[in-house]
Amino acid sequence: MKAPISKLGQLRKGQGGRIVAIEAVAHHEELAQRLMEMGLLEGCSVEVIHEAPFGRDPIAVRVRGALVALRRNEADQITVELDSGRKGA
Amino acid sequence: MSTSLQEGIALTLVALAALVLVSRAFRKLLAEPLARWLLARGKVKWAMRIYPKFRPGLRKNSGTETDCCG
Amino acid sequence: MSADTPRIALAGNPNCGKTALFNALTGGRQKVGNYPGVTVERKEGTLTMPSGLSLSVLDLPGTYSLDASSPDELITRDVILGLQPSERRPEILVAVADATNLERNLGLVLELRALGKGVLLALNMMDLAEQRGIELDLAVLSKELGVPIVPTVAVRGKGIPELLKQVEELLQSLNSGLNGKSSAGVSAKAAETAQSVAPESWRKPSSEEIRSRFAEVDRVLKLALRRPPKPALWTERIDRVVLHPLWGSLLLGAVLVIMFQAIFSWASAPADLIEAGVGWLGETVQAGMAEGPLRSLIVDGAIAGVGSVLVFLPQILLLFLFILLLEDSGYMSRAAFLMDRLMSRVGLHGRAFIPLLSSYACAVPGIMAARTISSRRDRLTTILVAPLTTCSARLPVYSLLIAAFIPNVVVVGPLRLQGLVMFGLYLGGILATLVMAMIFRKSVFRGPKSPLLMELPSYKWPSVRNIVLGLLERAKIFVRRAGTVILLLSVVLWFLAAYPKPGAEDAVDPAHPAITYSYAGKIGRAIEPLMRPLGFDWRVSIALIPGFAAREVMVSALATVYSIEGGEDEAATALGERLARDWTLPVALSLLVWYVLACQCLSTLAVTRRETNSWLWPMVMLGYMTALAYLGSFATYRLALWLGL
Repeated sequence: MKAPISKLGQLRKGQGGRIVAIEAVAHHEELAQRLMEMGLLEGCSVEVIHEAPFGRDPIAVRVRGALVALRRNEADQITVELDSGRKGA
Repeated sequence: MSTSLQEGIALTLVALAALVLVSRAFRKLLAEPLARWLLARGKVKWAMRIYPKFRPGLRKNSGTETDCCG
Repeated sequence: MSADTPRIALAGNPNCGKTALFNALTGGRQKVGNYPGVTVERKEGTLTMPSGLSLSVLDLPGTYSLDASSPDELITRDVILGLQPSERRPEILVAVADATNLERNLGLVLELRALGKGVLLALNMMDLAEQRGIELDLAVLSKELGVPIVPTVAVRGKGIPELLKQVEELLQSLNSGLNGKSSAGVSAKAAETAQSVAPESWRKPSSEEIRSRFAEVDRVLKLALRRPPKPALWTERIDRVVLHPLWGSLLLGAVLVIMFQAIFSWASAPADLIEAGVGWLGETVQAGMAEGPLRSLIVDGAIAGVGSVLVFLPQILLLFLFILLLEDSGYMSRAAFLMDRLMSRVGLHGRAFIPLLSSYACAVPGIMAARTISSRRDRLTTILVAPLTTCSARLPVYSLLIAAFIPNVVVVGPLRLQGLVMFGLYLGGILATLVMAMIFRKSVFRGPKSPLLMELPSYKWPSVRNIVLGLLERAKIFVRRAGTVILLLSVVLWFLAAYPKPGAEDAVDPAHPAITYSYAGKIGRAIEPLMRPLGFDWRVSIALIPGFAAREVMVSALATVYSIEGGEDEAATALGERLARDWTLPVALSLLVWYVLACQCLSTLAVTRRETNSWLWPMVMLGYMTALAYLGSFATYRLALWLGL
């Protein structure tokens, strides 16, 4: 069974998985690199730890031992293979 | 102290204060753009004179002034 | 300091304890300044090494990589590469890494190492790392990274002597022409990947290079890390409350309320003390000197002018204390996280929360704090609206006018009308900030929202040393300003109000006091027609002129204009009574609105020019705020008259 794939921006609190791709959208090449420098890299596991009040945006994710805040819009550039064992919040 | 002596000292102080204020305002606001303008027109010596930061080799003054307010 | 003093620079990720290390190295021997042109804060200090050699230490702004996006990251890159004009390239780079988070921190370390010789790694926060059960083989880590490593606990000064010893050794090996990294037993793999890049040939890394950089981090850590750190349990527990949608928002609100409450109530005792001291000084001089222009200059001009501003020192220090505490503990970025959604509604970046909060003390540090915003549009918007937040210099004017015109009647329960009006003025400032931000983002700075990408660091106990040093710095700046600009302005203003004296043929009576004939009186009369629609007479107009240089001078200017004698304290009450008799309520309300909206601060304009490196933005700021203030005051005055107040 293949693990479900999702955009990081679609995940709810408590969900997580392994980053499989970071899309460098044409004008967002710069952003993709920033994401990588903050440790959001392919192969790393990532989990949504917090959602801000007012529309659950931005989110805070745990990645490479750090807690990183980003908006869902930006998080959508990151594709995640969901952990099968974990359930949404 | 006589009133006229007081007046003399007071007016001297006022003149000094005004002078310092004007020169501060100049250094803070006008010196850099003016020096750039002079540099662009090739008047290097004048530019360096009014804006010492443009002077080469002068490390003592390289942007270390602390007065961020005022 | 001589030009050939060896220089080391500290570079590292934000929140790695770099500034604590800098403070531990240099103690109080530091100079805080700015890089020319960009006003990124430049911190340099000196220290004497055990060998007696002196060393200069440069604290660079934190960055996640050399590929810079914000102005302060750019400075870090340029100084490291030796591209920053007027800045000598440091001989030694001390890469500072948070030992509890090597997975991310080592990325920058590898980038720095690639620049070649003279790199040293300070593994900071080793105590926290050990508490979290990390087991690290430093010898392996050093060998694989190809740089000497010193474990440190900067907040407690641990590891500093060892660090200095390494610096000295590295300096010696550099001087004797040896390449620093080829000395120790460096693993073949590390040597191979450490092909040193000449600084001049540095170029922006590709995405592929970033990936391989972190792959190398993973490889090194696999060898050196025997046990990874356990999750930061306390941070997680605290965050469960602090970042909770409901409790977190309530907590943020409570923090802000407590902060402002404390600023007003805690500051009053020391402020009274300063006021009493100033009053005593004035009376002593008054008693000790013969009457005459010089005495008047010293008492009414210098002492009254500087004193009326110094009174705000406690408030400003308290505000900075809170801001430093919030920043040092790690709460500030949480606040930005919680506020991002609301701020982005009006087009502001979540990070703009910090500059705007700082602006409650003074717009100058607020505008400087906007440097951490990388998008130009967001940064300029934040800078332009920052002076609309109610800075502490407005307080004396608010206090004076409210005490004089608003009856202190109970509205509901503990709420009194005076307090409510004060709150209303603050609220007005916030509204104006948000509305103008929205207008700017929809017009001049139209464009897509810039991304929010921000680390939420682990909570830490704030370091007393950092806070004390930070507060001392602020106090120094404020007192120096009072002793220079404000003093000079007060002296000049005194002259304008006192000269020329009325001539023999001029009638001096209560309707035509001596000041009517002075320069200030003439200037006031000249601009009176312009200010008449707002309800301001020539006296207010005169006081507004020096008030344009610095808001708080307005109070002492009014005092001078109304030629009131006596001590500061007495003058303040007497001035209030005098105003209450002289002005109508609509005039006072109009002036209050003017003070909420007008840009009356030369320092703000000067810092805006330096931060934006252009005359355009300070002019835009002055223009829009003056127009806004004029319209606002006009509307208020007319409305108040129409309501029959």
